[in-house]
Amino acid sequence: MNQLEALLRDAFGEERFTMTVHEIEARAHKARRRRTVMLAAAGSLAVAMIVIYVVVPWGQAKPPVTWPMPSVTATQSARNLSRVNECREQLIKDGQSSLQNVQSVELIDNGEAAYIFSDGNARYVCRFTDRGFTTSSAEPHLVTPLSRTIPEYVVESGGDRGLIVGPVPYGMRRIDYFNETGTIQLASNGTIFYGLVPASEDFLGVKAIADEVFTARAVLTQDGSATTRVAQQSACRAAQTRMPIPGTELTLLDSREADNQTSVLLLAGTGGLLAVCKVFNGVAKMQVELTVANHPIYESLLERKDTTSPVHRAVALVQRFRGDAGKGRVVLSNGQKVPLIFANGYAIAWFDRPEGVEADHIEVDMSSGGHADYPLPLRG
Amino acid sequence: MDGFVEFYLATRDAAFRAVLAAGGSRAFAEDAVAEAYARACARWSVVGAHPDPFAWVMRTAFNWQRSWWRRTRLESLGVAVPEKASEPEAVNTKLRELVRRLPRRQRDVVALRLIADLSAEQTGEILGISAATVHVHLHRALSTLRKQIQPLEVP
Repeated sequence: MNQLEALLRDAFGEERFTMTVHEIEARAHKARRRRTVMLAAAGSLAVAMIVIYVVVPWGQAKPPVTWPMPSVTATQSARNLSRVNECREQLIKDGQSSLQNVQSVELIDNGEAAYIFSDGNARYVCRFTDRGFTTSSAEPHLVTPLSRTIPEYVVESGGDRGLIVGPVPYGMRRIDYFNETGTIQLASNGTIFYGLVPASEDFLGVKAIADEVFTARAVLTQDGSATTRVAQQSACRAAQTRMPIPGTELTLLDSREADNQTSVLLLAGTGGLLAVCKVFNGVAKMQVELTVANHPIYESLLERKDTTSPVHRAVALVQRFRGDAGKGRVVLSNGQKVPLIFANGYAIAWFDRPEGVEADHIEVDMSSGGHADYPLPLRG
Repeated sequence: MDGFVEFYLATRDAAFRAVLAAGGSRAFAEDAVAEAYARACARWSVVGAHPDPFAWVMRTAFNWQRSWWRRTRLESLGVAVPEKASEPEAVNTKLRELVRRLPRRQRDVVALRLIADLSAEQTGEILGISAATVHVHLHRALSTLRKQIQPLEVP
C-alpha cells in the first residue's frame, strides 16, 4: 500500500457507524413487512418494444400528445391486471388504504413494467423486473409549464438501468432526461412519462418542454347565486373540476365587481397557473366562466354596447415575477400604457380599452436595471 | 440469525466509510448503510450463506444510495447538499474534498477498493465492470489525487 492510499484510508478512518444492532433489527422487521415481494421469474422478454396500457385514466388531464400509442394485446392486458392487483394488495398491506387510480406502463424490455397508484396526494409506484417487484412513493409535483428543469421522481435503479417515471406536467409536449453525455427523450402516454435510463451515468435532471402554451376554459351553470367571495371561490372551484387541469388549488389574488351582477376573481395556482373566474348572478341561476392558462391572461370582462360609447373592460393577469421586478405596464396597440399592480408577487392590470384597441404586450422593469417583455394573446 | 451480529459489528464501520467516500451526504450514507444491513438482517439465512456477505451489503448500500441520490437530486435540483467537515485535520478534509470531486466511477472504485478494501474482482462485480477496468479507474483516480495533493505538501 503506498502512501497516498494510506492517507486516503486515514481521511475516512475516524468515521464510525453508530447504529445499534437493535436499531438495524427494528428496521429489518419493518422492511420485512414492506419489502419487495418476489415473483417467480417470468422469463426474459427480449422484445425491444414499448407497450402502454392505461387501466383507469388518472384524472382528466390530457395535454397535447405527440407520442405514439402502441396497441395492447389481450395477454398483456391480463398480465397488467394481475400485476396491478398484486401491487394494490401490497400497497394496502403497507398501509395505503385509500388508493384511487392506477395507471400502468409496461416496458416490455427484460420484463420491466411500472404501475402508478394515487391516493389523491401521494403517488405510489410498483416496479416490476424479472426479479420481482418493489414499491416506492413520491409526492406529485406540478411544475411551471415552460421549458425549465423540473422536480420529479424516479423509481430506484437496479443493475445497469434505472426506471424513471412521473406525471406529465400539464401542457407539456415532451419530457427529456439528461445526463452528462446527452439527452434521452422519455416516452409518455400523455399523462405519465417513463423510460429506462442508464444507471451508470451521472444524472443531471429532467426537463419538461412546452412546445405551446395552453388555455383551458370551463363554463358552469347552476341554480342559485353566489354573492359572497367565499361562495364565488367555491363556484370557481366547481368549474375547475370540469376542466382538464391537475388538482392544483387556485388561490385568490384580487377581485372586482364588473357590474352589479358580475364578479371577477383573479386566481393563481401552483406551477405558474393563472386563472380568471367570472361569476354572473342571474335571476335564478348563476353562470361561472373559468379560464386557466400557463401564460399571462388577457381577458375581456365586459362589453357594453350602447349607441354612443361601447366599453370593453379588460384585465391582464401576469405570472408571478422574480423578486427584483420593480414596476411594469400593459402596452396597448395604440401606444397607451396601463400601469401594472403588483400584488402578492403577481402583476395585475385592470383597464378599459377603447374600441378597436387591443393589449399588445407587457413590459416589466427589473430593479437591477433590465426589463422583460411578455406577449399577450390577442383576445377581443 | 447466527452470525449476523458479529458480521455487523465487524464490518459496519468499513461499509459506512466506503459509502461516505463514494459521495453524497452523511445522512444518505447512514441511511444507505442502515438499509443494506437491515436487508441483510431480514434475509440473513440467504445473505449469511453468500460467498461474500460484505460485498452483498456494499452492493445493496451503493444501489440504495444511488436511488436516493437520484430522488434527492430530482427533488432539489441545483441545490448542493452541504457536507459537514467532521475532521479537524486540514489534510483529511482536503483529501475528502478531492475524492468528492473525482468522477463518480473513479470515486466508487476508490471507495470500494481502498476504503472498503475489496478486491478488484469484488469491486468490479459490484459496479458491473471488469477487474481490469477497476484498475484503470483506480490508477486514474490516484494519479489525479496525487497531482492535486501536491500543494498540500504531504510527506
